[in-house]
Amino acid sequence: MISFQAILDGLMTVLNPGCLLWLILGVLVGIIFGAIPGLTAATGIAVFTPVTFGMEFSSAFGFLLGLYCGGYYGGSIPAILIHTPGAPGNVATTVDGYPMAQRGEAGHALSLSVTASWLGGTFSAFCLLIFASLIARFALEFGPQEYFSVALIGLSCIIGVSEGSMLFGILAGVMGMLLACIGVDPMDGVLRYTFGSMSVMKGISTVPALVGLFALSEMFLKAEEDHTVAKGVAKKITGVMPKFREYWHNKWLLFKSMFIGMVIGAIPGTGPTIAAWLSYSEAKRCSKHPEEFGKGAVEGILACESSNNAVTGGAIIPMVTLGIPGDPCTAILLSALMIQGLTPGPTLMTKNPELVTTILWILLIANLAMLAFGLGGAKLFPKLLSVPPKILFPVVIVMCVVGSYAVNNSPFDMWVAYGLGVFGYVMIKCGMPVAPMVLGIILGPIMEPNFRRALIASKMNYLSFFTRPLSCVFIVLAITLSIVMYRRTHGSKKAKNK
Amino acid sequence: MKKYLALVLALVMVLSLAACGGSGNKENASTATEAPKQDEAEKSDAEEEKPAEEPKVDFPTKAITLISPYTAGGSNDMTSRIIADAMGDILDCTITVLNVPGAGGSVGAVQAAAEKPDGYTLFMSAAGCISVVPYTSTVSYDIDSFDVIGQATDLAFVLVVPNDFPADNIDEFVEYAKENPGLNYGTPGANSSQEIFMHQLEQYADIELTHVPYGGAADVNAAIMGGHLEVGCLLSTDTVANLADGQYKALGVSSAEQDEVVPDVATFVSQGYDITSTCFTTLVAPAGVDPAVLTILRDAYTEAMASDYVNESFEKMGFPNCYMSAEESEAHMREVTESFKNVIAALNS
Repeated sequence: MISFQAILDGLMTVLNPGCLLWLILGVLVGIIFGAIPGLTAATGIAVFTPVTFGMEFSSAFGFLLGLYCGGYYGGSIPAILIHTPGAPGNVATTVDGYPMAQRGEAGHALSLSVTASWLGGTFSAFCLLIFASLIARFALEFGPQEYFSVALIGLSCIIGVSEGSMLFGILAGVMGMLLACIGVDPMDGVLRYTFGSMSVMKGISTVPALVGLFALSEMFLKAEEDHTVAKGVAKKITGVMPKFREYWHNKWLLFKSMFIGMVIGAIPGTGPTIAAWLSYSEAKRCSKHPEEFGKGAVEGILACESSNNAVTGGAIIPMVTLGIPGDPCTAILLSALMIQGLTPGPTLMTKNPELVTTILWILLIANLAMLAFGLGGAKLFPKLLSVPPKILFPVVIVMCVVGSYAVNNSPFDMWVAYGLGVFGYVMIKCGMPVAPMVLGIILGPIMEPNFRRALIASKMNYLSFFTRPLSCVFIVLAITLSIVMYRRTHGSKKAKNK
Repeated sequence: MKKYLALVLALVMVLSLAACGGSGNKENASTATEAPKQDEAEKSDAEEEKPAEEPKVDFPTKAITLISPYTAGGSNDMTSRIIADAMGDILDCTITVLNVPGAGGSVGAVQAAAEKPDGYTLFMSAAGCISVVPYTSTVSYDIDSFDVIGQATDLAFVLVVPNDFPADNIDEFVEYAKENPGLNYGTPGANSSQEIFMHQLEQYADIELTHVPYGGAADVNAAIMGGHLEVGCLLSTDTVANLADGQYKALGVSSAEQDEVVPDVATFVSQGYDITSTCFTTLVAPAGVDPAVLTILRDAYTEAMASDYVNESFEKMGFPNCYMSAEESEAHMREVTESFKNVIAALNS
């Protein structure tokens, strides 16, 4: 257990002007990186980690962790305003955030998103302090079977987001998973569907796919509309100041979402995307009015954003307790730790107790800074929508394409974005939801290798998915969730048809 | 009024785009120039020692790009950035690190091999993409596609098992593996140099193991600690912290002599298994660079690797400085490649 003295020492380390300045700068840079489609928190941390070579620990980590927190929130801004998730973790936020902005409540939606992010980030920071070793041990319980089963729960969200035709939703999900197969086979190293092209070898990356399916397709769709009038612009931006009652009313939803986010964050190899989707479907499952989800439900935004920011504290848990990254960002933060001369590993925490408390304070202050920027911006950002579409759209498209290129510095990724943009447009025109396809692209690369890994390691024992208790629980959950979601989304319609 | 504000906002977006736009290029470039500044004091003495050379060609006259074939933040990337900073200082030009990850490093290798051999494109090659991939899949390059500048690190493979594993050395391990055919072992990925080394061990000791490829060294570490995996083969630097903490034990290390990174682990050779192998990280350029330019690059590299900045940064990251001259490096690369090629050929026959 960490002593009170260590907590005070941590605060003293953080409370110096240099560290605070770097921290606030980090949050700002993070929000910008998060908000630009294609540039994610991970990109930002990777780019700026070498800069911290000559900095002292508190400044370096103040900057990087600020970037981390800001980045996970920033993606929700374009998700809400222009239906373009800035990062994969914010895809689920578009589902309810965008309709809300279209209703003219962009200010309210942005305020919800930043407040929920703040709550999630702060909650997980405290979990890091109190339950770190407990959660780290739980995370280690995850073998290939468990990874597969947890991804299966994520996949069951397809049913929840497939408004209209369930068949189309499943079809889109399968297409996404097939797209994820392109490139080098993760288990045997065999080339799949590359047609001899070297650039196809690395496969379809998440970010360009996301940019294409969500952002570009939406821009193409918007291009059909009458451009002389800007739509969805609130005359007055209201609802920016968070109301305590709104959050208190949803306290259990928030608590559940934050808990899901924190635990998912602690499990290596997962990340904010899965966390947000799981929380979203859980919120929809126990909502009293599930039909409002997808049409601008407050709960939808609260669930996703509190959950994806709770990943931050969660992902740091295995990093400081075991030296294993919990998500892509912490993988890079490990390098940053080594630059500081700290060896990540199980004894990192016992050898440097002040490290964890310093990180805790940095996270708390970074989240506060994020809240301040976010609430301030919630009044300002919606004005973006009053930019005439003929100026806004080209700018967004250019940003999207540059972002797609920047992820891997690969021109091929630009074509992926364009191709999937056109494809997404056709899908929407046919009444096919695009979200399941993105779920397939994201979850496919987790499910496939872990499914095969599980079978190889257990000598082709398919029953091992059920005999391992944790995995069995997840599979039962996935099935239950699918049935409940199906009834909730499609059951009422069936009853009417009868 | 609102319209103006909106315009300003749009402008800010465009500007932020311009700032982050070429993120790969610009941001990296700025870091490459910024970082050395902070260490200028340390490096100034290194500069003073700069030998007075008379290059026959005017090189470099513009920024150099160093392609790292793995993701930003990994060990190859960190090595690249440290060396880019140091060499950029010596050559008085900007060296930008460009991460081109994917397909076990071969996407970056393909791109580097296709670049003009003018000395303005460098490539931080590794054993995985140079010595393995060209022989396991069809790619447009091989070891001859590059001119060697010099080796940076050379890491040995360590065979690790959980603490309760019923073997304490390679002999006992081989015996156990013979009693339990198809024993699972994990590596950071398919076609990784770690996998090839394990095949080498299988062929040498005549045992049959089952390969379970994971998604990286961290995943293998987690799987062993969580009890999901019985055996793992990792680079020495990936095992140091966990070995020191007693999270798992090491049975052998693949270096020829006592390893610098894990000095407490007995080598395979000392345990009577005549197999050695290492995973090199070597700076190369596309083949066909003007010899005069190549000399400038090699000299700058030699100087950079001897600098305090590189040595201190390497020490912080836990990388051993395994500098070798261009000739030695190339000989070593060819030796490793030859041995891997033989292992792969034996696998397929």
